[in-house]
Amino acid sequence: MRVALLLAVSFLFGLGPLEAQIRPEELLARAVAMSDAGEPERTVELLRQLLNGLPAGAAPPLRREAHLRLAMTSWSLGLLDSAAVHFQAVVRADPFLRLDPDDYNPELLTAFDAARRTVIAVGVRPSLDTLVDARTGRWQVAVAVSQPGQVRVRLAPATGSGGGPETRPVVLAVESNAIASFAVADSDGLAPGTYRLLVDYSAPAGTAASGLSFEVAQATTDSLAHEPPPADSLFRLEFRWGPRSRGPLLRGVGVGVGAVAIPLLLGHHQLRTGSTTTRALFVGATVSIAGIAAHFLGRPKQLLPENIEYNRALRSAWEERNGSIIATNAARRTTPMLRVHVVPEP
Amino acid sequence: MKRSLLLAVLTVVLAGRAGAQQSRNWLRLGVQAYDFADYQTALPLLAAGMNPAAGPRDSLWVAGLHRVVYILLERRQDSLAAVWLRWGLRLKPDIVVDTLNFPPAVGNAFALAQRVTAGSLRDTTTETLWDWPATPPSQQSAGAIRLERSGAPVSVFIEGVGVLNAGEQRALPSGSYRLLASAPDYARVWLQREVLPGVTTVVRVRLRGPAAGGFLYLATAPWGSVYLDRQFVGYTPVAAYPLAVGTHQLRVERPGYAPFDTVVAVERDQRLRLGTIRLKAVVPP
Repeated sequence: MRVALLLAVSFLFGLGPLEAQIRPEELLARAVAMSDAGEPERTVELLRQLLNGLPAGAAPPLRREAHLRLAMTSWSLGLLDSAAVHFQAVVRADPFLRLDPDDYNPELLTAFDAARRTVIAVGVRPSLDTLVDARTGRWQVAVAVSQPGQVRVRLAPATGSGGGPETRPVVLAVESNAIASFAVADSDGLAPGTYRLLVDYSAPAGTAASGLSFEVAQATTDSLAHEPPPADSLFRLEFRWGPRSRGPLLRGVGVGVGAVAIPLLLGHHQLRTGSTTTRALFVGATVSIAGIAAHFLGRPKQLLPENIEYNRALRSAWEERNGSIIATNAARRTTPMLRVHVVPEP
Repeated sequence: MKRSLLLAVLTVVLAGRAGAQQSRNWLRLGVQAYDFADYQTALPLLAAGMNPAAGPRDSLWVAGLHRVVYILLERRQDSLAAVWLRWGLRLKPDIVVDTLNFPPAVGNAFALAQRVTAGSLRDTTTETLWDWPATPPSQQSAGAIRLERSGAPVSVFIEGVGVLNAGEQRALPSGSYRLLASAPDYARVWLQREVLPGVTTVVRVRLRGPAAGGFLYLATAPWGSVYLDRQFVGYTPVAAYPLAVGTHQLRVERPGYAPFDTVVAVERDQRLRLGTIRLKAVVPP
């Protein structure tokens, strides 16, 4: 009874319903599982709960995914107006998004396209952190719009950053996607500092703006590491053991027999003692055993020219790559580079 | 010149009369102006006189449609002529083309429009009305489409335009539009309707509801076309699709995948949920 009371009190004083404590990613996973199980009504509930509880700083892909799934599920339930609202939210969240016809049925594609036409949205997507040649390099920015229109992209120094003057705007007539590029050359481009990328979009149905902050800094030379030598396992054997030959065996045994026979047959019998016979036998046996051992252990080496050539090519290629790395590093040391990286909004 | 002046005077005089009679008079005047080869005067009069609410779809009305189409073809407004023809053939599918008084271009346009509208003859889910303008409309003016409230909370998606809610009116360029009418727990339906210059097309949708049956829920990966009892009902995912009590043949098809066939049995008020069905890709031999 006490436990039940405690639970009830804890529920009332801030712990809230179970699902309110679930992380948004888990809530999305549950919604997906419900959708897979053929429970669209529950899916809609969970996704609405997710979007209502999503903090302002939540990951944009998560918000986009939730809106997209909510749009699809609402559409399947016949809630076309609700689906349209969520498709529009998807377009606003990510103007770059295009639905793959393999993954989305023709009705959803049509509805998504219609939503694009009713929304005025512009998105900008630069490379988040990149190095460009300070003399000749260009910094490229991808732009996506929801409807055909004109996009003006310009760079302005952030206040108090000490950056260079505002650049001339790049004006693009954009159907859906385009690339704007800016020279970063010292004379006509970006001095080190913090900048704002400002995107103004105007279409017949309205206007929109977007932007982001980025920093330009002198970059220290980033040399490439030398490549380690090829692993031993990559090399092939350069020789193999040949078949055993009988020559050493016959020679060894012959010499051994000779070592026994010559003293016994040719030696003076009056000088022969038991000791000399034993020694002759010992020498003969030793020589014979040496010959037999040479037969079994001493196999000849046969060189493999193809493998030798292969290993040589492997070593040469490695040396060549390292040579190229050395040359690249030498060139990089003489090339001034700028690091352009996106920074969080102030 | 005298004839044109006479027609203009007649138009002004007749404009003061009551609506239905006025439309029929415009149609007569339009035919007369056409017979005098005064197409400039004839076209707006004929267009104003085609109002189907003003009178029967008789020989005069059919003659008026022929003349509208001919004038538009003469003016190289082929697409607008096609819109008028599709609209006319949806209203009166049994029109016989007058090949004696009109050139082959008119006959060809009729044949093309008949092919497009052939599938809509069995359409019993919608009632379509037209708000005709009080004065003869210009063929350059925009039309509109309006969704009228019916029993279910229907919303309509107009392909290439967006969602239209009940009671809402949307101005549109003249043309043929595909409409998807849908409401929760009702079978959705695709329709095609024409928007004529200066005319508001009013659509009332009566969707097939959940009368004494259950509902089907179906998801597949990847998406596929769903056929129930050999009738195409839409694409997966399908949710709350109303089904009559009993057994039904269910098939999901997608090019490059083996079709999925099964029989589903639905009871009254049952919500039959088939979880995600994985379609099997067909490996080419």
